[in-house]
Amino acid sequence: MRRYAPASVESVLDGILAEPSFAGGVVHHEVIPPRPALTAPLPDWLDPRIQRGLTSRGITELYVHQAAAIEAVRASQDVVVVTPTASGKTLCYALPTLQALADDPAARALFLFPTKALGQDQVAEFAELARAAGLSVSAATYDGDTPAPVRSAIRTAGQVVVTNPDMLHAAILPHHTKWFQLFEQLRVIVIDELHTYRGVFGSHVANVLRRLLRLCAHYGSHPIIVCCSATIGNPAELAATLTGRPATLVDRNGAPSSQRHVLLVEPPLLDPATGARGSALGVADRWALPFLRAGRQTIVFGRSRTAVEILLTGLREALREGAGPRSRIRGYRGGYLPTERRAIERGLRDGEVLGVVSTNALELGVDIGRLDVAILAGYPGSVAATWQQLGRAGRRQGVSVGVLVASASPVDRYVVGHPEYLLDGAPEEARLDPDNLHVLLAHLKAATFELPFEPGERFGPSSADDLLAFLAEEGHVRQAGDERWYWSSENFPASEVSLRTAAQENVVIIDTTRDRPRVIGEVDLFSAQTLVHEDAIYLHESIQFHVDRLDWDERKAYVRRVDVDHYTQADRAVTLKPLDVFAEAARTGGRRVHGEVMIASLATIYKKLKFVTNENIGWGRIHLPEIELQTTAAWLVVGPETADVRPGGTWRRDELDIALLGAGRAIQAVASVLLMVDPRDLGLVTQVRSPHHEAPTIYLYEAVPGGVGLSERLYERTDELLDGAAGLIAGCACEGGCPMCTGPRLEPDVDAKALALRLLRALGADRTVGPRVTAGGPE
Amino acid sequence: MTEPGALRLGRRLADLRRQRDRTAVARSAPDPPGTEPTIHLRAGSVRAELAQRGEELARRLAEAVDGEWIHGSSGGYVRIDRPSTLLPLDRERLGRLPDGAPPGVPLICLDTETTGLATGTGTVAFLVGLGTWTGDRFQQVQLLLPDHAEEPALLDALAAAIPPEAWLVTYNGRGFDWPLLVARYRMSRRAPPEHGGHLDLLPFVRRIFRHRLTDARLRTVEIELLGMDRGPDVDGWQIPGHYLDFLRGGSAAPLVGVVRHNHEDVRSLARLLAHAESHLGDSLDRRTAPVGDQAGLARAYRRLGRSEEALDCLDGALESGPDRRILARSWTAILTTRADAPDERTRPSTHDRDALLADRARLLRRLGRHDEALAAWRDLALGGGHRAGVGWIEVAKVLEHRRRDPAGALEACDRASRLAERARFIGSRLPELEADLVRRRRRLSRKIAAAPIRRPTANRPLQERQDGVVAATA
Repeated sequence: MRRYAPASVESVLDGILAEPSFAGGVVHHEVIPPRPALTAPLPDWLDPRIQRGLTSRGITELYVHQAAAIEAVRASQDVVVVTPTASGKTLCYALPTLQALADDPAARALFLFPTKALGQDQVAEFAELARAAGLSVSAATYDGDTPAPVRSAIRTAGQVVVTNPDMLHAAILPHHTKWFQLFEQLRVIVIDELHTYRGVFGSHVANVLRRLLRLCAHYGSHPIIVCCSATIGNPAELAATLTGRPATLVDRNGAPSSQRHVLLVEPPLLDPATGARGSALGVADRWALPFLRAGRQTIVFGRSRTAVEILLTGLREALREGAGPRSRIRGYRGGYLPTERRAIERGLRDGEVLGVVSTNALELGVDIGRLDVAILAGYPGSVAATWQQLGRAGRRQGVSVGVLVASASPVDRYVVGHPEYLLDGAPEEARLDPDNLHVLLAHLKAATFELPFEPGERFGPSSADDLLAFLAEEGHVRQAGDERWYWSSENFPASEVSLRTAAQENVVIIDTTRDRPRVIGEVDLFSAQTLVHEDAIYLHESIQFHVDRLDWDERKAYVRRVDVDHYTQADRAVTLKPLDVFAEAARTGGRRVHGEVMIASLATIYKKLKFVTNENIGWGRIHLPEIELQTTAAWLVVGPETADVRPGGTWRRDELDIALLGAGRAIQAVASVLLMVDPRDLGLVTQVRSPHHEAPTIYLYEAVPGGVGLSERLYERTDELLDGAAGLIAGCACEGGCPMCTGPRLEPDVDAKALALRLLRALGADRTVGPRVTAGGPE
Repeated sequence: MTEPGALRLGRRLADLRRQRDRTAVARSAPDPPGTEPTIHLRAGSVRAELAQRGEELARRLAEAVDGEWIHGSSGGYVRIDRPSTLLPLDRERLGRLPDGAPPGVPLICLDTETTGLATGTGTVAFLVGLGTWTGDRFQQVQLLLPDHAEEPALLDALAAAIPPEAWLVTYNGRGFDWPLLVARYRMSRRAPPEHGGHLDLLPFVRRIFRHRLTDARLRTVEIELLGMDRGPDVDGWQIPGHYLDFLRGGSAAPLVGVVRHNHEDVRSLARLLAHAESHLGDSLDRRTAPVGDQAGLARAYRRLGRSEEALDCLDGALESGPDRRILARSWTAILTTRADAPDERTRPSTHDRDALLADRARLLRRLGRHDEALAAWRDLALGGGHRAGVGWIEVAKVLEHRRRDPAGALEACDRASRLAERARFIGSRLPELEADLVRRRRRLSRKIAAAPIRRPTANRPLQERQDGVVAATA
């Protein structure tokens, strides 16, 4: 018999941990003690109206990070505030903005949010603050949904313009003369969710900001930039790279928190030979049930729409058997109507909705109040996102619980195997390269369209003349009689650039589900080979699409919405040739190198893999031409003394082959964690005898033309990568290698694990760095 | 440890250039014509050479288009003056048209040619054509930009040509030409010239003449409305290319055609004004205009709140009787247009008699002439056309809210219901009408049941209730 009696979070948790089937999976259990608030008084220079407004909302003092942030802005410093979830970040930028508007109603501010939905929620909160202060402030979102008549009103009279980088890039900057009131009086620029501006997107946005600041200079304004970031390893560096200006770091969090339990869980090992484990989704549901039955508000995060459906079905089934509160469990994801979403959010706030299963749609911004328990079915891809999801649980008083259930991937295994990464500070870095030449040139064109370049004027790291001369050879710009560079083409350069992809030649993805086809996204050519080949299942906003046709010459992929239980994974055959070496250094057992490479990639076959179990249920061939990609890479060359494959040498050639691949896969997984990237964005090539170095080599290359600065950091952090990889492999519970460490086992009699570890140790890896994972397996 | 950003960037650029050149050689593509040599040197001679190149552009341009190079401290531009032509315009009559400029103010016809069709700060107006009247004579002048660098001079000259009280006359100038020029002034940190008003003839043409034109392009207006043909002309989409080619060192010859094109456009603005004024400029003249023109004019007046004039236009249109041509076309249109693919050109005309009657009834209501409005709705309803149902509902509204005659209103609803039933019988349902009737009948029945029977006062002046009740239920 099941019991459905309300119970406290603590007693439910105690009950769970008393059961061996649960407790056995817990890799780490951390109890974070409650923390009191650290506060500072409201500064006396703050406008009395704003002070009264704050007081009327019950805010009589500030948290120390809020106080530090607004003091820095007052001292005309750019600032980057590191804010854990629900620490009151809005005040950090709202107060300086309100103060500027109180001083001078002609002042303007620009708020940038990475997505539309986020901007709309924040503008509501800001408007409430302004109202409380009795300041009449016109704050409005300007995005693709803004109706035309409202647009012109915002242009002339909007004091606070809330938008996203894509809109700034394509709709505001190229039409800056219509926005002259904004640019002339711009005092504050707010960049929220700073940590999302990384990789290709970040590189683009850095250039959009270069254009923005260039226009501000033209109109004579000198705005202060306030950035807010989730906890990452390099917030100040990220802010400086993104904005091109140094920023004061504010990272002493003053917000209080109640006691919270964080548990890292691995599904049970089913078969030591293959390393197969139980499903993360099933385990997540099992953890959620006792809390739901006890009436504790619980959120479960799944990584895809399908995962959400499976989790939701599982929970409802289980609760139906025992007549539990089934109807109070809701799903939440992209694709739901706004009204449905608002209803669920409201239900969560007032307690009517007991449990919600969501994609990362609920990770950011959206106000759903604070819940008791957050359960993550799978690592969401970054430590920052993990904390944003875990942060959904945590009331002002009482105890909250966060559970991260690892799914069957080396990345997940690595993370739960390193609790200190999650708990003691973030090792992950957000990287971007604003000087990626493809990205830089695209934005230089847009910048010239916006305003002619003076001779010798800088754009990015140096004077733009050489780059402009290059563009002139292509006919895009010309140097006129006054020596300035002018846009001299009929095209509208901003419309040729999407901030979400690197190269200009993209495959456009067209949804033909409805009568009227519509474009839902684009991918660069290199990714298109493996993401939108014919019969691929393409995921967009957690929705599955089947690729019906790929017109390679026209660069168009026609897709249709489907609901299937599998996804596809394509293999590519890659040949790699080093072109140039930027940096090189000797290390134990060989050398590490950072440089430029040419990749020739041919997509070969794809596999259909079942969700949850990753079971292979079919395959097909891909017929697409080979394409070349020039990009940056970091590589490890194994020295001849370390690996001698001559007859009678230290290694057998076939064993070395397996060792290189196994070690490479583990390094790739660790690298994707450290640099906050999707493992797919880092390509792996191993060569037993590299034609270039005439030695065994492991290459990690960036799957983006020109790279975005990842490989440079991989080169610098080689030690950590090797140590992490060795720890990952050694700690795995499988017998001789599995998809969660060295990759799928190809030959049953070969111990890929031992081989990879032998190689890594020969290269100086120290697997004692970082705690080992003990899940009852060998080693 | 790693090399500085600028250095690496330079190397990447060199790589990219090599890569491009390799592809270019592989394709053995010829150089684009007249590509201006890029100056890589950063020496003092560059400035002189660039300046010289600018001067040469101006001379070549002036020579090709037979204009005068006018240059001063803020740069130079090429000015083309043409002899004036006789093109009388009656300003009194023009002033009476909807949005027509008041008689006293100067008019400036204006049209630009630009380096691109996208509005945005990188698009430049390289040619501005202007036309003004002195008495009955129309005088045209064109300002032409010889080089990007000279734009301030052209903008100054343009500002000097526009007196602050003048009205601009353009074709799509509100949406394109003028905002683009305003952007140019803002770019060079100058105030855009003030002007008294702006008569954009594109919306005017759409409202009044569009029903009998293939499309609303100025060229079509010339042929189908003004009955003239300007002869060979350069296509609009080619214009930016011709100019940019010239800037890159190409020939100035194609710009002669561009200048002629712009000249014709400005002239057509003047002709169009004269045409509109002479055909529609007073109540008597417009009675001979096509019914569609009069109906469009009525709508234009109504939009501006000039209801009396709108009513006069409608009366005129109804007097002129049905316009055979339009009716004939609308039938073909109905037969050839698929419901799911409405095509602008084959859209059924809405200027049938019933539409005019309905428009007229609405106007009467707005003017507070409710008795006449009631009569007009009743006419429409009794006519039995496809708007009869609407007519009965409107009759019901007046009876219920103005005449306080719920019984009469209910009877009107009955008539409407019969029409709706008949429509349903032949398979064309009128769901909105039916829904409206259900609500209305329920309310009327309630009123009749609740209120003591009261005889409606036959000639009760209805103007006293102008509180918007009718408008609210409309």
